[in-house]
Amino acid sequence: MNLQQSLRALSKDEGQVPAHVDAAVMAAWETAWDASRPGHAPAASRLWVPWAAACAAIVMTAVLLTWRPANSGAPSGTAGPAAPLIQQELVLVPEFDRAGPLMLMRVRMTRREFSRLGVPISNPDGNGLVDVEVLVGEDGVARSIRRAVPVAWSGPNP
Amino acid sequence: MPTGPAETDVELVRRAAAGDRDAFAAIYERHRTVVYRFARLMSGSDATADDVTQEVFVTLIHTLPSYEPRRAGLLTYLYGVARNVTRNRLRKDRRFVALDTAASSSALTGDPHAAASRAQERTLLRSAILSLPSRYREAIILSDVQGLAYAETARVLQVPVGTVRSRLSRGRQMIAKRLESADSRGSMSTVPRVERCAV
Repeated sequence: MNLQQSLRALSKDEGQVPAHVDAAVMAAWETAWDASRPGHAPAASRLWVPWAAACAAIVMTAVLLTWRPANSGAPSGTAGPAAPLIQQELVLVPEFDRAGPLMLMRVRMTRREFSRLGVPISNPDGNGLVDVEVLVGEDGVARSIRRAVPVAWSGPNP
Repeated sequence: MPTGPAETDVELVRRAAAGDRDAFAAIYERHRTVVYRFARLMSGSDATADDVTQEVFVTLIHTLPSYEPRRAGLLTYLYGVARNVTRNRLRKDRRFVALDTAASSSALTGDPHAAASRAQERTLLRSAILSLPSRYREAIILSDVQGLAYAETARVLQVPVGTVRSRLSRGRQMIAKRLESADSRGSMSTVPRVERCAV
């Protein structure tokens, strides 16, 4: 048998796909398609769902932050009880991804840095600091803001 | 909907993209073995072949809506994905590994001496393939082992047909040299020392 015949014969001798791989592939199919609603697009083409949720959350946050009742005229940065900067319990940052475990980090940052996270706030270029609880993925990327409270001003800014 | 044996890949893909589980199962059934064998010969590892096969078909699930049969046949497309996944995997996992030495059951039927000799020949051949640089290895596996036409191999590797020919020629020379070298060492060791060329 020459080399090329030997190589060709090798093809039939390379084993079969194990059953657990078959099961995993078909499970991936079931996961990607909503079995209860045949005809729907697979998960990859339903990416608009989390995007829409994130956008809706951001719009609601913007509305809440920009709307002020007539009697709430206290300037920002003044001493007094610190009101939450974000009215919602959880605000999604853009490209929110639910996959993977999350860690809670408490950080203090300027309003400017905070606004750079993608969360619309009133007076993003203003002075003052914000205490923020950030949910961070294992890759170190922020996934959502849980709470943000302006730090009460107690003297001239540094 | 059940699938017929003569149903083309294009028709199966069209149905699978519309959510037909049977059509996807038929595609998987039809092509899983060649993908698995390609990955196993490329990597020399059952575990890697398992992972690559799974990843290739999961990729297919997610790309079915955008797959265009006019650009490439399904098998060519799957080989292309398998090639990329395998290369990425080997790049991440740069180390020398021993080839799985288990002989196939088919090699152990009939005359036990002849079967043992065939099994050893195949082990040597696999180790020789595995020792090739990847550009020669993939050409040999696709064309000489899996039996793809030169033009089809060229499409999978995205190189001209002439390049496929030259890689095959060079790859065969390197394999022949390896086998000669193994012959000259005789039967000092039943399990050859196997080195995988790191990508």
